[in-house]
Amino acid sequence: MLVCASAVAVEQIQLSLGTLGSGTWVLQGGSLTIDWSQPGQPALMVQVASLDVGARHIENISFTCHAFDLGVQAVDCPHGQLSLRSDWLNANAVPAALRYDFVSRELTVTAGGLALAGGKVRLQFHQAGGGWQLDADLVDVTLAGAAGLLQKAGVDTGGLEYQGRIGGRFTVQGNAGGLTRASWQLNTREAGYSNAEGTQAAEALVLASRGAASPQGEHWRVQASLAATQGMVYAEPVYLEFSDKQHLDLSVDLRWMPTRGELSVASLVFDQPGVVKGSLAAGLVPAGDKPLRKLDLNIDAAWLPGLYSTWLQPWLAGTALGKLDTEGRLHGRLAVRDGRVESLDMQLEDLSARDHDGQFGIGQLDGDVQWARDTAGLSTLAWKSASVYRLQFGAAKVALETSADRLKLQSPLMVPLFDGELHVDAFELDVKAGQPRWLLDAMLTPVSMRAVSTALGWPPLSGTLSGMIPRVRYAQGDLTLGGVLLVQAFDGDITVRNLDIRQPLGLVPRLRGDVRIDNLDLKTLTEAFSFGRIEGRLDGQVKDLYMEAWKPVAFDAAFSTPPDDDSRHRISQRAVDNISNLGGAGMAGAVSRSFLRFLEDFPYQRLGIRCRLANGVCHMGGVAPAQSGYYLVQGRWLPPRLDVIGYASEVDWSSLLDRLKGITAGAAPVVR
Amino acid sequence: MISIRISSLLGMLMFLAACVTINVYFPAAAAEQAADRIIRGVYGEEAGKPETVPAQKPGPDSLLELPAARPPVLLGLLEWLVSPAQAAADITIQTPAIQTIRASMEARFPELQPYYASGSVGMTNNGLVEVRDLNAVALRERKSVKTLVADENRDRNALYVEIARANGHPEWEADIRKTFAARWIANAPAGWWYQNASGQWQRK
Repeated sequence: MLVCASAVAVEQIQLSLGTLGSGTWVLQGGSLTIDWSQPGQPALMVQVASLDVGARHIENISFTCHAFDLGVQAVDCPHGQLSLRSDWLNANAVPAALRYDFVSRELTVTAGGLALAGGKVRLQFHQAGGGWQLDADLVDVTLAGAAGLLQKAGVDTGGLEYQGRIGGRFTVQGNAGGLTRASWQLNTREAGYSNAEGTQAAEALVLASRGAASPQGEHWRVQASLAATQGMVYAEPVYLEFSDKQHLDLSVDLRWMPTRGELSVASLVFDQPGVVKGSLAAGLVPAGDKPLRKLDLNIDAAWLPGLYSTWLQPWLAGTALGKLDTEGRLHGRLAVRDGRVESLDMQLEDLSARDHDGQFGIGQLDGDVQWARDTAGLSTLAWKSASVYRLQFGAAKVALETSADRLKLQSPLMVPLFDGELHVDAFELDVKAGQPRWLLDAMLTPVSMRAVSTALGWPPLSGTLSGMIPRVRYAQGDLTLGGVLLVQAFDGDITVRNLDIRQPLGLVPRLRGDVRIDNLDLKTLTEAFSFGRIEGRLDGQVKDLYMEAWKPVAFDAAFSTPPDDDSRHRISQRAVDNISNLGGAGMAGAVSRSFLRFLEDFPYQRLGIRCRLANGVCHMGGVAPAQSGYYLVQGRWLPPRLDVIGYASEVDWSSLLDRLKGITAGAAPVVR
Repeated sequence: MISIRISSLLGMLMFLAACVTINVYFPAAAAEQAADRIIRGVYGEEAGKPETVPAQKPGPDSLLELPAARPPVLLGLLEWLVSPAQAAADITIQTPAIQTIRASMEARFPELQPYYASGSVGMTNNGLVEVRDLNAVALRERKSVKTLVADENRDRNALYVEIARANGHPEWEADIRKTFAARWIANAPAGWWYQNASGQWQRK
């Protein structure tokens, strides 16, 4: 520092300060003038042509003081005025104070009420013993203005538009070697930002942050806290809303290593009441091909539905898990290495989830989920209830062996289904290239058809349902049955083969399969459907069944009395009427109107119906051809003989269904 | 000699068969009617007065786009081979899959309608919808409008595939999409936004 003193006039002393500076700031063209020319009004003036602090450039700094104290040791002016000009900070005769100690070279400059970015700033600069500190007290500074200033200084503000205001204190400390510490205690109000696409936006934010950053060699260490108590943020696809009750508190201790482009988060503690609470440690390389090098996430507690709706659902939209009603709690740990999940250890408590469309659900699930990429784990799950479509399963416990991309049932599982049980002998799931595949082997012990049919919204059926459910496979959205599904109902056997369901949980599930029925008892069946009593047995098959959204689109079905059936063959008046009705209009009550009304039922030789459905049309047939038609019921030779003959060879499928529901239309069969 | 005759006959048959296959053209007029039925079902009472979109002309024009596929020499023969019933083919939309997709779209429409009306969601020129201006959507609704648009597009894509498949011509998907793209716009009420052929947004 160069200080030259020269007496220009008796009444004036001028000190030319030449060039002053430390590592981070440079002052040029400075002068100190003390003027006694006005009697009783001495004036002290400090003038600086330019001051550069880092990249900041300030010109024409002028400090004037009329009441000052000039001693041998120091000059002290507590009530001066400051003017300065720069492209970011301007002052025109704002109140300011200055003190400079000639011996210790300690300088303190204070200026209040400077206009900065739409608000005010009070600055205090203090230099002593090689160190310096600048305190900036911000009042109602606009974020837009502040962002503009930062942009001018070459700081990336993320291409966002800012609203709202910020206030608080910002402190920078340094020495001859440069910046040593920056600290802040800032609050925002009505703050917000938005990018052009609207994918990153915030409104009405009330944030409070305090923290400090200090360089450590080539690195920076940042310790900070942030509390959001009002407002909302949309960071696609996550939306957060804050209130006094729904606040978010973060505190972080991190190290930024610019030379390595690496961010090391020693700890980030988060607390979002009702949603999630915990901490994490992470290593990030933002510009790397796997930005998340390391993550250790500790969830102390998480609550549903908060966690689901805030943090999980946005990523699950469009999947089967995209629309769930959830409740319950969980806690646990998750570890990620090089962008890949390495291990998971989660405890689920009283967790319930239900799909909005009611396709599946689970109730009061407790579990201990253990998974690691490198070692085998054992997970246990226990639930009080579960549902698939309208089938309600009961409470069960399951132990699962897990390994890298596989999950396997440790021991057979028994799940109550109505009054029966589903025995799952084997279940294996693996995930290859993000696609889950699973395999299931199960058996169903007898369940009353009444319960099943009621649950499915069918007419109440009697009998029982039981069967083998062998080798059910699911891969690439396709559910297939490896073996034969055997259902025992109505005293007969129903077998389903070649079952294949595409997208079973999708909008349009497509089912293909072949169904065969053997020796069904018609009496039980007709009683169940209140069709009118028919006695006898029935065989049949539905070949090439194809259903979309659980509605038949095509099949080739034929049902008839087995050729070797020697059981009693009787058909009631009402059943005959109903079969006639199936054929069409006008024949309702044909039997009950004729002399046959005196007979409650009739013997028959064979009965049967055939329908080949294609393009919405059912190509009809019966048990045998009749003259220009087909026999639906073939009577016994002995009188009273009753035949039901159908004539319509093609029937519209939807109207056939309507007729089945009691509506009559189209060509009628003839009773004779 | 005999074998040569057979092969030339076979060749001729194959040639004719190939021509006939080409001539099963996309029934544009019927597709337009089918699209209108579905679209009005979705829009419900919101449907505006439909307009005829000049870019969407039925049948014969689309054949003219493929002059090489139908050499004029064979014209008379083909008209004799292809029965009028086949040429005036109808478009089936009565399958459970199509009905399920329609029901899903109809149920979603009331949720999407305010965004169409405000212009934050518009109709694209490929028969889908798109978020035009996310900034016009309240912050708290941005997540759901994105999901609605994604779900709607999933249904629309499935619908076009499904109609083509239900009519036995999976290759018609592009034509069906094109028809729908025009009819979604034609049936929309005034004030909604749509993309013109060059991809620019316009207000109806």
